[in-house]
Amino acid sequence: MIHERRTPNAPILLVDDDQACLGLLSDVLEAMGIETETARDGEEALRMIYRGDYRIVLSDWQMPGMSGVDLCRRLRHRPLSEYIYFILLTSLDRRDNLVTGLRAGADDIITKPFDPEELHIRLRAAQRIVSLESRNVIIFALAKLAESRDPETGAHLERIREYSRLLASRLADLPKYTEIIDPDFVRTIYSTSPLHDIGKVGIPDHVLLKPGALTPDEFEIMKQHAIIGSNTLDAALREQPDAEYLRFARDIASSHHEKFDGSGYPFGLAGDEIPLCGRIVALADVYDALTTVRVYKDAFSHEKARGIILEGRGNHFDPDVVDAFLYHEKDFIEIRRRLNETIKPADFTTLLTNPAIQAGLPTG
Amino acid sequence: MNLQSSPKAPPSHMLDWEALRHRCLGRDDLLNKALARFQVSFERDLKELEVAADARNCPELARIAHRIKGALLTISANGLASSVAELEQISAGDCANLADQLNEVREDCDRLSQLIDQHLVGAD
Repeated sequence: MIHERRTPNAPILLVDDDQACLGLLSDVLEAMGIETETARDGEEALRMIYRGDYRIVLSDWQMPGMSGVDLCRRLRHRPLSEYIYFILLTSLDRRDNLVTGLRAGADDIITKPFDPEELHIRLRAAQRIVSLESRNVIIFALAKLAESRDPETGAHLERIREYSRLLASRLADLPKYTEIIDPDFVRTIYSTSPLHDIGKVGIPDHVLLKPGALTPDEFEIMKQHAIIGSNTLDAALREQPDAEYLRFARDIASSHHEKFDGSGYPFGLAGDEIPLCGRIVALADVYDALTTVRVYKDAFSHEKARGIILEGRGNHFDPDVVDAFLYHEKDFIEIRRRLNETIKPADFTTLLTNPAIQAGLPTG
Repeated sequence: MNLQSSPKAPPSHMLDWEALRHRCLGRDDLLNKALARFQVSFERDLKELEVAADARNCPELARIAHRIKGALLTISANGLASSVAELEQISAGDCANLADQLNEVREDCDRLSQLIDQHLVGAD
């Protein structure tokens, strides 16, 4: 599985084919208390960036193979979910090339040989800029706000994002998904999956907070939350069309109640028509609904939930996602144990008489 | 190339010690580490430079010269860095008649290497 670094300041990635410069840069920055990692050329750096968690890259300009400018262009051509602040290092005699570097998308240019004081000041500025992108915190705050109207679900969002990350990480190992799921996909599903039910803010209290079974009409109202969430996030996306994470979040909100056989809602999408992120969150959401206490039911055991999910393989759920769930079963149990509230024995009667459950778990 | 054959003693001013110490935050441990690391990469780069020169591979010669220049600037060997920059510039065009420049660079590289060795031995 892919482990994320979630330290406030991710390490700075230093890229240079000149080992003398790379080593001294690394030593000096470490002495300043700045964590670094190093790559010896553009190709290695690119692999590390897509696999790791870097917010600032400091790269030499001229390197064999992929140059620093080419590396920068590649990063800007295919943006990651989080902005990478890119600094180019160049010799004093190449200052006339500055425009080329800036056009490639570099945020700053530092001349070689570096001055430690200047370097420190510029890196502090870079860190200030990347820290302004407090996107993940805002996403989670928004999701929590929506969830606050439905407090019975406890640490639902925390569990959903952990489950979703596990499933995506497992799928990433399969050849079928290597071109689709990269570490950035995994990071994005982790950060945006908590928004899956944000549309619940538009559901009236008498439906959302109803302690008993929903009537068919009430369930129709409840189903609207997928569209409300999708429309809300789509409006945000129109404001910022380059924000891939918003597109991702919108797709999750709109599709996490679709079913693999086309019997879900709101659009009745089937198979690959359902965005992969939606297929992943669908299973995570259902597993969590099954294994936690809700207004309409007690918590199921893991074994019972597992059985229901297996029954849904190929009809409710994408078979590959179910297989990923089985692969990570022990991790699901551990996450549930760590983040769950008290689990009570299931009340199957309540469950089976709830029309929302009959129509497709979960009710949200 | 024969780095051991230079008859001249290495003058201390081949390195701007003050600038290098400043770059190393005034810390001798970082300075010595930087010089030791430089020696390793310098030796390898010079060998590659010789191979490229023998093969008259101008683009490769220019590329290696550029890397050596960067390393020299990093340790504040500014004079030699200028000579290597000149070599880089000429190599970018035609490297057929570089014998004089190469010889000069060879000698200076040899002296710099000796100077660094002397310093590191003294630092032990």
